[in-house]
Amino acid sequence: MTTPPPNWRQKLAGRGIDGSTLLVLPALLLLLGLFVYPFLYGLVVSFQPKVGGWLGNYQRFFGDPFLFDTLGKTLALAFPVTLVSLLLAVPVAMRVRLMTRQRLLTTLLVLPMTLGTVLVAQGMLGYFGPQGWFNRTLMDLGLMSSPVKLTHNYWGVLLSLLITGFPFTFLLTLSHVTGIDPALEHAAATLGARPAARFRHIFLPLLLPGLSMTFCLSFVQAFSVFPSAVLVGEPANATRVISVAAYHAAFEEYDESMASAIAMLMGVVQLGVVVAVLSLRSLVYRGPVVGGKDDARCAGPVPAVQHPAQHRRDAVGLCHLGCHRMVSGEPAGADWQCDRQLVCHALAAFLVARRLDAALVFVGLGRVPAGRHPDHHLFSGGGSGTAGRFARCSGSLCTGAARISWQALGDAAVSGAPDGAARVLRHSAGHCAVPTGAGGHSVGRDSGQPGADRALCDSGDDSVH
Amino acid sequence: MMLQTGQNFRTLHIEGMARTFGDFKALNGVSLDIQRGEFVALLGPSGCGKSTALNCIAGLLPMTGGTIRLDDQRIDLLKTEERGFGMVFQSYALFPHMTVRDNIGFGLRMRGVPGAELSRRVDAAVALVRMQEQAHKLPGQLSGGQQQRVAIARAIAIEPSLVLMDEPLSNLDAKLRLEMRQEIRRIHLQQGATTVYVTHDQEEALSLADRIVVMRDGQVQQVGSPAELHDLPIDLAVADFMGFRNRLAGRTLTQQGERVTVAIGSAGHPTQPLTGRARRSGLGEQVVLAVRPDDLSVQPHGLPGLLVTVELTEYRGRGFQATGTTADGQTVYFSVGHALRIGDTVNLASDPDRALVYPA
Repeated sequence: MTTPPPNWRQKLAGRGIDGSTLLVLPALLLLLGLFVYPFLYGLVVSFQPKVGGWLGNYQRFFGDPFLFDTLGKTLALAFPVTLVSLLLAVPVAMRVRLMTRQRLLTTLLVLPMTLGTVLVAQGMLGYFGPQGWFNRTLMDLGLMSSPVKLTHNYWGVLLSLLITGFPFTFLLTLSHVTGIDPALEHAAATLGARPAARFRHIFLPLLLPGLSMTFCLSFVQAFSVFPSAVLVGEPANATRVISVAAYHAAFEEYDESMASAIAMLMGVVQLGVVVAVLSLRSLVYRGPVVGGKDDARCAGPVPAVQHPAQHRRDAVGLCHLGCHRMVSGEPAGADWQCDRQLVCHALAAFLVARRLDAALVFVGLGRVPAGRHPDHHLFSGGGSGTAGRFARCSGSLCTGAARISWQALGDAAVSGAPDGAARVLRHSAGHCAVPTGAGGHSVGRDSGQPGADRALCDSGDDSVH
Repeated sequence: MMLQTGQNFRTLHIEGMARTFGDFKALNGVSLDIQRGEFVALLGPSGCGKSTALNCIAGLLPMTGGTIRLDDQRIDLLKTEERGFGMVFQSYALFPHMTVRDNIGFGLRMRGVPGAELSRRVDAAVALVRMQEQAHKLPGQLSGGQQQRVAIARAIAIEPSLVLMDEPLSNLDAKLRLEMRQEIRRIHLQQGATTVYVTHDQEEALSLADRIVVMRDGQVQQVGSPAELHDLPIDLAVADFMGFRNRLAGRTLTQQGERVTVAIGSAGHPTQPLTGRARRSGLGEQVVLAVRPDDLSVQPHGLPGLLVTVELTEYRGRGFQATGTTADGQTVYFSVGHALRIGDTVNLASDPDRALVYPA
């Protein structure tokens, strides 16, 4: 008796394709229409300058200090903000992890994120202004003879970015910290390690991969600073950041080609920093952060091909990393911390997200009913694997897109350019292609798009084996 | 102050150890003396406080009452890292980013043991648990049993005064559990490390321990050698935990010394006698006879014994395990050598030396 050869359905099922794969199509179309096309359009436009050859915009950017210096000014804000947030977040998270009533605290911390930069800027102008509470208190106490200038300069923007960025950094860090099996610390203590040694030898090595990812997300968020640079900064000089330059090109010079080029450069710089940080990450241990029985499921740095199940799990890793803590306030399980492939997804996520709210949406998509692993349901069956992954990824991208348009709109309105806002609306409704009232934001985002797509697909390929 | 190593104490005294969580008394005055070199098992159902006790001894959980002394030195106020006890965790808690060797050497490094000696002692510990082949692997690349070996080696490499083991075998499958049990016994015999072992598995406790401490509701119920615990549980609750599956209510018929004959069933039923041992005199009228299924045997009809209607038989390889009911509706579990027909009535006798009679 011979077994009949597998028919085409069985063959496709073996590759993870079945009827439900078709569900991907709408998302895929949206993805192409809202991201791939606008990005390519922007890229092409950036090579069609008003004057000069096809590289004219880029030559002008690097040749003109007024433009080129914006890059340094932006980095001089983004790096310190990110580092300070991280350095503050780690110790606080180490303490908060021991608290039983974390939910209240996380709620309080999420609030500043929801306020948005504009409200924070407005508050800062009052509070830190020359006649504000802060300076008055200092002067009444006799600590200062004249007001400290903390608004309309570099420090104002730095503070504003810290205020809005810290909660995000903290919550991500907290989810990494709480993901580490507390038994590891207990074990280290029984072996004679004092608290400092426990942190250095146990927590830090296990936290580094997560912290580097948090660094990337926070950095990108800070790098695309626009409203606070204008509102509490000195946009003509000290805080003339790169997005201000893009805005200037688009709405004051009406040079969409130049604005596109600046946005592309923004994307390149961010991508460069992130790739650098994530490649450093590959030098450290990136395996599971639990010390025992769970290891069978997510075995550390063994070649990924041997552990397809783990890869699938990682495919949604990023979503879970933050979402449990951020959205539901429930602790993220340790098993979500097996994050070998998170590199790709971190990349994808932040390229798409670029902004806090979009990142939240992205992250929030990974949210699942308590006690249920989403990938059991989406990824475990060979058949629905690819479909689920695609749907999830492209869904995230689209949601990100929608949010980003709104953000751009808001930014444009804030910066006092109603015509800019109108333009954003027009662009997001139809052929959004060139930088808008939001300065470099939307195009910058678009520039990352194909990379994000690829990152997600790469990990997908791995996991089909 | 760090208790570097210390196989040189005589006795660990635990006195009135208590721990409350709000109103809940997880540990309610536990007192116990542990001699050097002893293997003590804390045995009890889940929630009895045995893990809490272990965590208090380790210093991972502050006590809310009582003292722990190592000979004359009070240690319950020391931090975990100052006590110098080794601990094996239920989840193994191996450091996932360190190799087997680094895991095992961690405690020695924390103590500042110099390189050559560290290397020698790690080698010895690796050899003790027979992990030479895997010494350079990461924990994630090991099987559950291997991880457990590493966890044990890590705990004893620092030559602690006390090794604490928290249900170390509960995550292993049945076959591996048996293997590791023998391994733990072997290592204990070889090393002679004083060990406190927490388990809910009476078989594990019986086979490993020199002394068993049965706990219930945060208190010590009985302390004794495995044989004492196995043969003479102090009360019904402990008996229940030690495998006395049948607890048959009845009335005292006769008592001669410690031998008691009990009429099983309530008044009004025909007298159906079973005989057992009483742990103390003055039992009173209402008693309970506790007996393991293996200590009940089928005898010819006509002899004095307990009549039981067979309800179920299960094949157990060497024989059958049967379930039946008495005339007054009590369930009886017993072993037989051949299959019984459901609905048949059999006449059971108890082994008078192994059945125990307790006051009801």
